[in-house]
Amino acid sequence: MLHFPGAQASPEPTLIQQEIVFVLLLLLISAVAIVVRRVRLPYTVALVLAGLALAVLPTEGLVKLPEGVIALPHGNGASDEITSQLILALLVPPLVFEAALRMNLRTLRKEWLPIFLLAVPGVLITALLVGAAVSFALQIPIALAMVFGALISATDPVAVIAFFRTLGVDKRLSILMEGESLINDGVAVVLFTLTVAAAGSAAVQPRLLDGLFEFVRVAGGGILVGLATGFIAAQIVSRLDDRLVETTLSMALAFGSFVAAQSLGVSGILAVLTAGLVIGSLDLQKLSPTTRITLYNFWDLLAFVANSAVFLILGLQIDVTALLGHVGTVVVAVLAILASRAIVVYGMAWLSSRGRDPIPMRYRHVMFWGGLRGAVSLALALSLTGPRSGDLQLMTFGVVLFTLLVQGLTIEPLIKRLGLSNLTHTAQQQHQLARLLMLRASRRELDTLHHEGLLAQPAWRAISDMAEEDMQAVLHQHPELERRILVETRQELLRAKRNALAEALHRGVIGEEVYQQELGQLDRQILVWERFDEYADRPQPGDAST
Amino acid sequence: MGVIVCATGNGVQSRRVQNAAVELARVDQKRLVFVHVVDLRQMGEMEEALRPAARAELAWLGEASLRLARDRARRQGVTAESVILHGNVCQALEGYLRDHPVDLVLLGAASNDEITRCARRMEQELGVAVQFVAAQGHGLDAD
Repeated sequence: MLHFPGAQASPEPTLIQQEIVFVLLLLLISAVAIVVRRVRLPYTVALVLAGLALAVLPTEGLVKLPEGVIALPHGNGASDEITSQLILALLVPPLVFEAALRMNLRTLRKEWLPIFLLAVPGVLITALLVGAAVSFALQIPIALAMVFGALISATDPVAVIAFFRTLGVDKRLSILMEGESLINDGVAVVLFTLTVAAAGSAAVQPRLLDGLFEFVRVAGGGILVGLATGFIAAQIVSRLDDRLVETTLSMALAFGSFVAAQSLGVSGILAVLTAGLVIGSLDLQKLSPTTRITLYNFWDLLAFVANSAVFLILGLQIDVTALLGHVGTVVVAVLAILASRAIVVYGMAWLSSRGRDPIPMRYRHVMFWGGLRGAVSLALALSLTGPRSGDLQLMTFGVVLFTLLVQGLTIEPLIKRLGLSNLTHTAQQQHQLARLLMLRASRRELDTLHHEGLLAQPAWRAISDMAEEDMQAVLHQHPELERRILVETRQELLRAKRNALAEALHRGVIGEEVYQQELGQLDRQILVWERFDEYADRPQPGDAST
Repeated sequence: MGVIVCATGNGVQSRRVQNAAVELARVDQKRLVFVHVVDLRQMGEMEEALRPAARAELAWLGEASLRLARDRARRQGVTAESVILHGNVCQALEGYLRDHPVDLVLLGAASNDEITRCARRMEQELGVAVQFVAAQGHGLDAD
C-alpha cells in the first residue's frame, strides 16, 4: 500500500507528493506502451482501457492523489482553477506544437482548401449542430451545450493514421485528415474559450455577430502572436548551431507563445500552432539535420507523455458508475456527433471538390468514420470547473470512448471494403522482409556462437551455407526486396557510425567541434534515407527501369 | 565485339532487365555495361543543403546494386562492367551513348512518355537500338 505522507494533514501537496504522482504516471504510461506491443490494439485505445481499469480498480487507498496535483473536484475552489489551467497550459501546447512542427507546409498548401473548409467552417458547424442537438435532446442549457459542441469538435485521427500506414493507404488521405486535425485543434480551443466565457456571463446573451467578431479577434490575435514569436525564434535558431540550445528554445517558444497570447487575451493554442509551423518549415540551412532530429525526438516524447497523461488522468477522474448511468446521454451525444460529422465531411468535400482535384467518395467515407475524438477534447473537458462540468466530462469521455473503440476498431475493415488498401502487396512484402531479417539475425547468432567456440567450424560452415541459400532463395523470389535490404543496411550502418562518434566524444578521443561537424554530415545522410522511404515507391519522371 | 548497355535503377523491374541483358550478352558474346543514373528528382523537392548528401547516398545505393548485378552476371559466366551517371536519366544516358560506341540499350517497361521519346531519340539520332523489357512474362529469368 502506498500512501502519500502528509496527504491528509495538508491540503496543499508537497513537492515530493507531486513527484511521486508524476513517477507513477510515467510508470503507468510505460506499462501500457509495453503491453500494447503484445496486443493488436491502437495505443490510444489501450490507454482508454487502462484509464477505465484505473477508474474501476480500488485505487483510492492504493494511490491517493493529493488534491490540486491532478485531482479535479467538482467544486469552485482555487485548486480547480489551478488544475484546469495546468491542463490547458501544460498538456495541450506540446500536443499541438509537435503536430505543427511535423506538418509539411508545402504539402499542406496543396490541400489548403479542403483542410480550411473542414477545420474552420467545419468546426463552427459541428459545434453549432452538436450544441443545438444536445441542448434539445438532453434539456441542457444552450450555453453549456455549446461548450460541449466546441470541445468535441476537435478531431484526433492518430489511431486511424496508424492503420493507414500498415494498410498502404494513399498519402493524400493522411494529409487531409492530419491537416484538418491540426488546424481544427486550434479553432476548437478558441471556440471553447469563447463559449466558456459566454456560458459564464449568461446574464447577457451574446449576439452571433459579436461572437463572430470575437472569434476572429481571438483567433487572428493568436496567429499574429504565433507569427511574431515564431519569427523571432527562427531568427535566433538560424544563427545558432547547437541542438541542445535550439531544442530548449523550441520549448520556450511553445510555452512562451502560449503564455504571451493568453496574457494578451488572444488564443494561446493558435499561437503555439503558428509558431510550430514557422519553426517546422525552416530549411536545413537554418535548422541543421542534427537539430531537426533532436527536435523531433524531443517533441515526440513530450507529446507522447502529454497524450498519455490526458487519458490516464481522465481514467483516474472518471466515475464509471456515473458513466454507466449516463449511457443514454452518451448515445445522444454520439448520434449528434456522427450526424454533424457526416454533414461537415460530405458537405465540405463537395464544396472543395468543385475545384480541379475532387476528393474521391471513398475518401469521404473514411474521413467521416475516421473522425475520432481524443486528447484535445479530453484535456478541454478536464479543464472545466463548476456546476455540471462533471456531466460534460462524462459525455466527452463517453464520446471519445465510442469513437476509439467502435470507429477506431472498425476503420480497418472499412478501408479494406472500400478497396483503399494495398494490404495484399504490402503484407506479402513485409512477410518476406521479416523472413530476410530473421535469417540475417540467425546468421549473426551463428557467427557469435562460432567465435565464442560454442560451434565447431564444420557445423558453423554447413549451417551458414544453408542460411545463405535460404536468403538467396527469398531474394530470388522477391527481387524487389534487394533494394529494401540495402536501404535497411545502410541505415543501420549510419546509426552505428553515429554511436561510434558519440562514443569517441564520450571517451575524449575527439573534441566537441569535430563531433558536431561529423554529426551534421551523418545526420544529413540519415535524413536522406528518411526522405527516400517517403518517395521511393512513387513512379518518378524518367525512371527508366523501374 | 558489340556492347550492350543495361540501364538499371532501384525499382522492382530492375532484376528482370538485368537478367535479360545478361542472357543477351552471354548468347551474343557481347560486352555488358550496367548503367545506373542517380537522379535527385526521385527524392521530390529537396533543400539545397541536403543535395550533396542525397547525391552521395543514392550513388552508394546505385553502386551496391551494380555490384550485386555484376556478381549475378559473373555467376552466369558474363563479366560485366558498371557505370554510375548523375542527372536526368534520359540526358545522362544519351550523353553516355554519344561518348561510347553501343549497339543495344535495354530499358525497363516504357512507363511514361519521356522514356518513350528518349528511346526514339537514341534510335533516330544516335543510331542505337533500344529494347524495352516487358514487365511480365518475358521468360528471361536467368539466375
